[in-house]
Formats: sequence, C-alpha cells, structure tokens
Amino acid sequence: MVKIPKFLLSRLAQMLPVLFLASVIVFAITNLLPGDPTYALLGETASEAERAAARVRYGLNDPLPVQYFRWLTTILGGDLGRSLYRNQYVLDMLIGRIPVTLQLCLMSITLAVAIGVPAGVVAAKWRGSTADIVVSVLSMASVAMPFFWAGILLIIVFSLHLGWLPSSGYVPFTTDPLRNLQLMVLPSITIGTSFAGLIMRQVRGAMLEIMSFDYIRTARAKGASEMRVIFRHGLRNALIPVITVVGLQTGALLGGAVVVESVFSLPGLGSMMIESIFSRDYPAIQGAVLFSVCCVLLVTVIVDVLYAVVDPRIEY
Amino acid sequence: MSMAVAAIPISPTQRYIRRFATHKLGVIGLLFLTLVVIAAVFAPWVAPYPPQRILTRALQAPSWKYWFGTDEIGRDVFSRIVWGSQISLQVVGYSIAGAAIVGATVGLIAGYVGGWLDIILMRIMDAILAFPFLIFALAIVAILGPSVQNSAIAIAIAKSPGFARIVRSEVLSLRGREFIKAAIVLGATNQRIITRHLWPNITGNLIIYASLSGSTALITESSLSFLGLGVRPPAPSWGYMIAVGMDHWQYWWMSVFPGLAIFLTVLAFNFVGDALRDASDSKLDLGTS
Repeated sequence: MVKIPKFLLSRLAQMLPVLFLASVIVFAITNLLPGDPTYALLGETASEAERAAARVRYGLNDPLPVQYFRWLTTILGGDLGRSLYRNQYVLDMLIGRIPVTLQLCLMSITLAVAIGVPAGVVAAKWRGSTADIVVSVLSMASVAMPFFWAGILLIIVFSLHLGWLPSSGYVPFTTDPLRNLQLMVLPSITIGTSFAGLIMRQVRGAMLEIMSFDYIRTARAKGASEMRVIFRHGLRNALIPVITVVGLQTGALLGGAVVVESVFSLPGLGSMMIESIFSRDYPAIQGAVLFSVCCVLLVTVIVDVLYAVVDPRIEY
Repeated sequence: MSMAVAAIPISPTQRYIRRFATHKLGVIGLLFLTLVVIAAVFAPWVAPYPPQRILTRALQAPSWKYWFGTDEIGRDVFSRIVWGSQISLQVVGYSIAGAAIVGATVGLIAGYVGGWLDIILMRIMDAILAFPFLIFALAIVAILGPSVQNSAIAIAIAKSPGFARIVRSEVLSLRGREFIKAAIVLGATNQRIITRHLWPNITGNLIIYASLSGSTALITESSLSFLGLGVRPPAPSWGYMIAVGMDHWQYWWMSVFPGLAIFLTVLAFNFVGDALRDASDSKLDLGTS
C-alpha cells in the first residue's frame, strides 16, 4: 500500500507532457485558425479603432508563445476567463454544469456494468447457444446506434406512447430526488445500453479465455461449485479488461453526453458547449474543452490505480 | 473462421477473398454498403421525387406513394434519405482519406526515423487522442464554422492519430525483420524501402482500420449535423433530418427512418471491418471508438 502514492506521483508526472500539449492544442484551435478574435470580443459592429484598442488591451499583438504562456498562467491560477455572452466566469459556469453531466455519466456507467457484465458471463458460459447469439447481436446493435437516435426512439416509446417517463427537462436531485431520477432514467439508458454492448463483448472475450486456464480446471477438480468457479475465479480476473474499457471510454462518454443532453434538454457540460458554440463564446468553449481533456487524463490515471487494487499481482 | 483448404496453391489475394466470403455478416455488410453507394451515385434515378420539392400535404404517414412518409413541409422522406446518403458518404470518404494520409505519413516518419522526431510526433498524437472525439470535432467546427467541408476536416484531424499509431507500430515491427535488413544491406534507398518494402505490408491493417473508422466518422458526421453544425439546410442530411423530426414527435417516421439509415450503414462498416480483420489474421484490436 505504501507503493501506490509514489506510483501515483510518477503517473501524474507522465501525464504532464500530454496535458501541456493538449493545452497548446486548445490554445492553437482558438488562436491560430483564421478569424479575427476581436470579432468574438467586440462583435461584428465595432469600428477598426476599437478593434485596434482591444488588440492592445488583450495583448493580441504579442508573439503567440507570449500569448500562450500568459493564457496558461491565468488558467493555472484558476481563472478560465469570463464568458463573452453571459455575465459569468467560465469556472462558475462549469461548476454549475458539472453535477448534471457527472450524474448522467455515473448512472450510465452503473447501468452499463449492471447489464453488460451478467450478459457477458451468460454469453461466455453458454457459448454458441441462443442466449449467446441474442446477447451478441444486441451488443453489436447497441454499439452501432447513434446516441441521438436511440434517445429519440426511447422518448417516442416510453414518453409519447406509454407515457411512463418524462421526455425532457431537469430538476436538481437536492430539490426533488424522485423527479430528478425520473428525468435522468431515459438519458442514462441511452448511453448505458451502448456501453453495455462494449462491456458485454469484453467480458465475454475475457471469460472465454480465462475459463480455459489451468487454475479454473484446478478449482473445478477441487470440487468448487460452478457458481464459485465463474464468479470467484473467472469473473474476478475478467474484470481487469472491463475496467480498461470503461476507462478508455471516458471520452466517448463525455462526447455522448453532449448529444444526449441536447436531446433531453439537460443543462450539463455538453449543452454548455453547444450553447457556447452557437453564441461564439470562445472562453466558454475553451474552458469546457480543457475541462473534458483533464477528465479523460485523470480517469486514465485512476484506471491504472484500480488495476493495482483489483489485481494485487500488478506492481508499479 | 474457417480456413479455405485447397490442394491447388492459391495466391494470398485469392485466399483473402475466399476467407472474406465465408464471413456472412461481412458479405451482407459489403452488399449493403454497395447499395448505399449506388443510391448515392444514382440518387436522381433512385429517389422517386426531387429532395426539395414540396409534393403534398405535410406530415403524411408512410404509404405506397410515400414509402417513408412526408416531412414537416410535405417533402418525401425516402427521397431525402437517398439524397442524404451523398453528403454522409462524401464526409465519411473525405475524412477517412484525409485521416489516413496525414496519419500514415506521421506514423511512417515517426516509426522509420525514430529518435526525438518519433517522441515529439507521437506525443502530439497522444494529446489529440486525449480529447473526447466528438468534443474535439465540435471545437474545430466551432472555430472553422459549420459546414460539410469543415466537419470532414474536423473528423479527419480527430481520426488521424489512430492511423498514425497503427502505421508506426507496424513500421517498428517490420523494421527489425530480415527482409528489411536485407534491403538496407543491398543499398536500397530510404524511398525504396518505404515504398516497396514497408508500405505493401502496412496497407492491409490500414484498410481494416479505415473500414472500422467509417462507422465512427459517420456517427460523428451525423451527430454534428444533428446538433446543427454540419450540413446547412435545406440540403438533406440524415442527422439533420432527425433533428427536425425531434420537433415533430408524433410523426415518428421523420426521425425513425433517417436514423435507421445511419444505424444500418454503421453496422455495415463494422461488419466489413470485422470480416476484413478475420480474413487477414490481423491482431488489430481497436474496438469501436
């Protein structure tokens, strides 16, 4: 247990160059591409003199590396700038939006694991059976469904025709927990089923491989029940690839949130991005993109740590 | 996966085709993609009506006359889906070609030259990969402005690190092989080694990855159009049609059929990619992301 903090430090240190380059890319996207930033700052109607003044005030005439490091220092100080559109700091906007997206992501992942792991075990245990074929077909289908279409199908079926669940809107959990959950069910199913397909495929593959190992035969020979063999000896080892899949999909999860929040009108990080893009709110776009990169990188580190927790043989 | 056992020796290409043909889903996928390409190329003849013409009352349910119903201003949904395939396939084609060219070049240089150049190039690729795919594409489209061309550029940039990684790892594993060493000893130029010895051995995996990437590219393109950042209306695009259908919930055919077109085409790309991979014995495992 003493090793983990040291290992964590070295993993975080390895992350730094990627994070640095990612910040350069974010800066480059908004500064190197064609287009005069003063249009974003002042709008289309400002005069040339006003633009020139703004360029001096914001240091837009300085060499780009100088501008970059100035930008980086303010960001490291926790200042992501002010929204051009709303009278708000970008950081405050993010803090307001993160709980919605976080809840969506956590509920989706929980659902995905709850469906994907048992389905994968069943498919592997009865390989080639009808159950295996059904589960495999469903997983292929769920992976190929675009989120926005899956969401709309769910709304058509469960809100419009059956009237079981509301189609869109958001209420914070702290205000009305029941209503909050009702509103989050369909969005979570939309993302969750797609990831369940991925997880199922991983679990099935890993279980098939592991169940042919010697220690499984030994466990059976010792007289362990089939349940014990599958869950204690098989699944436990199959969980490692599952953690990888879940970890590697953080980006896809956040991307999915953008689309799903837009379908279900959830005020999360994703809809903040879309709104900022339409209102050409560059600091807000920058903040949201940068935040999502940090999330992805952080999760990759967490995944590495989880490996060591799940599999004590792994040492760093 | 069954091996084609033959007494007469067959060429690797023949073996490849035979193995592909035994993969039922792959064949179905290939047939479907062919159908979509035909629909796109011959859209004026395949589609029963022009995509922009207002034919009849709005929001009519599917019928023999209008197979997939009519939309909010009375245009034929089936005809618009057929025409929409042009845009979707163009964006997929251009973005994958662009990503393959950029990615393969970076991968070749990184793998072949090695050293500092390798480290720098691949760290840049890592940094791009750290961005959520759709969010990266969104950010680029946000700055360049929404259009078909810009969504293709955005997808191409976001997709190129994947190609770079594959090509680089192939080059690294090939570089130590004897036939490459032999070519070096025989005094072959770098250009000759790359074009005659490395490249032919890389194209197989490149094609598999390109096919699997087709599905990501299509989903991203339609997501961008759905969010209003791709095709400009009134041009028909599958993603945008679904977005319009969202404002007309009761008329399910407006969003269900274009979505089905995306779904089936994505499935077809995945099937073909899987079949190509199985046929080639490649160990390429890139999932679906």
